[in-house]
Amino acid sequence: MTRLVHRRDERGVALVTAIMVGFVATMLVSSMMYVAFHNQTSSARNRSSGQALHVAESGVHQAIAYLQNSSGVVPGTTQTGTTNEGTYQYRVVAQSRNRYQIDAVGTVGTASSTMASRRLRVTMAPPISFKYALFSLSDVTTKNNNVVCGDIWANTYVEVYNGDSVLASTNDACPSGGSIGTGNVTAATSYISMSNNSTVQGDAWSGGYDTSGYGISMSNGASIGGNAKASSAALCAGSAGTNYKIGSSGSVGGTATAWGTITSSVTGTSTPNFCTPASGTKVMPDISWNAANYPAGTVHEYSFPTDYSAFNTYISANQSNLSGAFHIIGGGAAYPINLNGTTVTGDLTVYAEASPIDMTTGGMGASGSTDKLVVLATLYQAPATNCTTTGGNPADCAIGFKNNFSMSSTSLSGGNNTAVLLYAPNGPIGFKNSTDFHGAVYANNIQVKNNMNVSYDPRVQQVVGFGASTLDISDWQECAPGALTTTSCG
Amino acid sequence: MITSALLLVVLITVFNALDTVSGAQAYQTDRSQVLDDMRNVMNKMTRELRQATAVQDIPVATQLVLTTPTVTYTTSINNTATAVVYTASGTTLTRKVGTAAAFPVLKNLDPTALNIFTLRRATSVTGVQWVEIDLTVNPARRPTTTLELQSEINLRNRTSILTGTS
Repeated sequence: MTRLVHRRDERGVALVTAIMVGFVATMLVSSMMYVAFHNQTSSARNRSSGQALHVAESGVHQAIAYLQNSSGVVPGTTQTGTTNEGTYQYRVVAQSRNRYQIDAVGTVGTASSTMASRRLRVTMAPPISFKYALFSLSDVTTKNNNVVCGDIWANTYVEVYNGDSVLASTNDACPSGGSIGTGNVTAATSYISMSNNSTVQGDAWSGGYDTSGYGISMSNGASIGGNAKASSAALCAGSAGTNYKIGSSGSVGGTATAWGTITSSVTGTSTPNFCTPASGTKVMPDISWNAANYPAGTVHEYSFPTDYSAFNTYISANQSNLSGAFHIIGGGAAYPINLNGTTVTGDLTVYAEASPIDMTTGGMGASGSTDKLVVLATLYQAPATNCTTTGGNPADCAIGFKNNFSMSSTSLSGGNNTAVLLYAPNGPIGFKNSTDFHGAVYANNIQVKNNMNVSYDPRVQQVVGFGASTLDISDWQECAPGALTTTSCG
Repeated sequence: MITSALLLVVLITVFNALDTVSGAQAYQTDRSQVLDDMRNVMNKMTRELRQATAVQDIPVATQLVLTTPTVTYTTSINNTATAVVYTASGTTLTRKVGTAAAFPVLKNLDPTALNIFTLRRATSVTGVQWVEIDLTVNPARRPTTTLELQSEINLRNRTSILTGTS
């Protein structure tokens, strides 16, 4: 009887054991499977996410190709496409002055657990070409109470005459809204001459020396707010101390380093007889004409001398309300583009292949507070010798300029709200008497005289038709996931 | 008696297996969690660097490559240009946004591989063009193992920091 009871007591133990083992095994297997599935899903999703970015970029490049083929005409609707990895959508929104916003969404995967979608926003714009207030392939010469807000670059020498100032764009004397330029002056292969009471707020950097051996020549009251460096473009040839000097008067607020002696007052560390390499020269951005870059209906083309009279008639009829894009083919010294007495009321581009641009008698003005960009460009070739600070005939300067745009002294967008780019790679640009404007001057040579005020304006930094390409990617952002038409890109 | 002994043996074996496998499972879970954390940090850094408008430059003008435990860049966060700093120190990777205090984003870094960031220049243009990230982490649970993730980032906005032709 007892044995029977024992048998009954042991009955089922194997089953309980098997259930326990099975339970434990099941728990272990399911938890390991969960981890394995998680890792697998996570990897797949990560892979999809990476691919989705590339698919979205395919959409961006498809949009760029579309713009190239259509000469800037944007597609009217949302475009779609596929790659081996997934699908993309894109749309293009045209903005002012040859800017385009491209939105693209790339999607990879079909199962919800592994699907990924990414959204990009890319801005296309003309390449960055202009960043100096004054840029010269040779020298820059200023004379009598001129104020430049921004930086100056010259491949040879820079003369800053009595009372002239080169200021940082943030200086109180400069209009607000110009975030570029710290008041630096660079004379890449020659000297910087600063006459009595002249000011360079930023750094002064020379690469050569004047007839007295000064790399940076400073007269009484001349001051450099930043660092002064008299380097050698000739790879430190010759013995120290003879040339590349800084002196003999004036003050330097930062450090001073010269291959020669330093006799100016220096607040920071003074390092004479120490050779540093000069900066090297720079080239100007290229220019190219393409009528498709300008709004339809605003483009005018004239061939000189055949159309010279017709051009002058048009300018005369529209001189109080001038805007548009003008392409002047041919011409020469005998056919100057006379813009004297004109008033600009909208974006204006004048591109002359061979004629000088003349505004030496009546100047040019602007009207209205709307945002305007004026581009005056000529490939006219003229020797620098006749276009001087004493003025000259129209044919002596590639661009001769006088009078002003009534610019605001407190804000770049104030006054007539006009930014001006003057471009003459083969000839000098001369200014005389109260030529005030916001923008930049890029020329083979620059001559300035009497009370000129120029402030660098960032609106001229990227101008269509200048630079190595028509458009570049100027901004690339990944937006939070969302629909293609989502306005924000947080 | 025999049955009880056998049951005891079976139970000991089962619990031994349970202990071993649960340890392995915890190890796997920890490894998986660390991997997720590494992916998140790597994806965030990669995304921000890819669209950065300014990346710290290599201080020596002639040097083309720099490996460093810290990287500073300006990127768009909520449509605002913001300075971000990542620093690897000790066994921790910290992130600093703007003027806020730095906070840890990844722990258990391999202390022998703290030069996480490699900045690369090109010879013909200005500034850093590529950034490589090499994250190496030793998960806390034993046995000792090493997880490593790498990313090479092509800076999309690098042209915006170029000086142009003039």
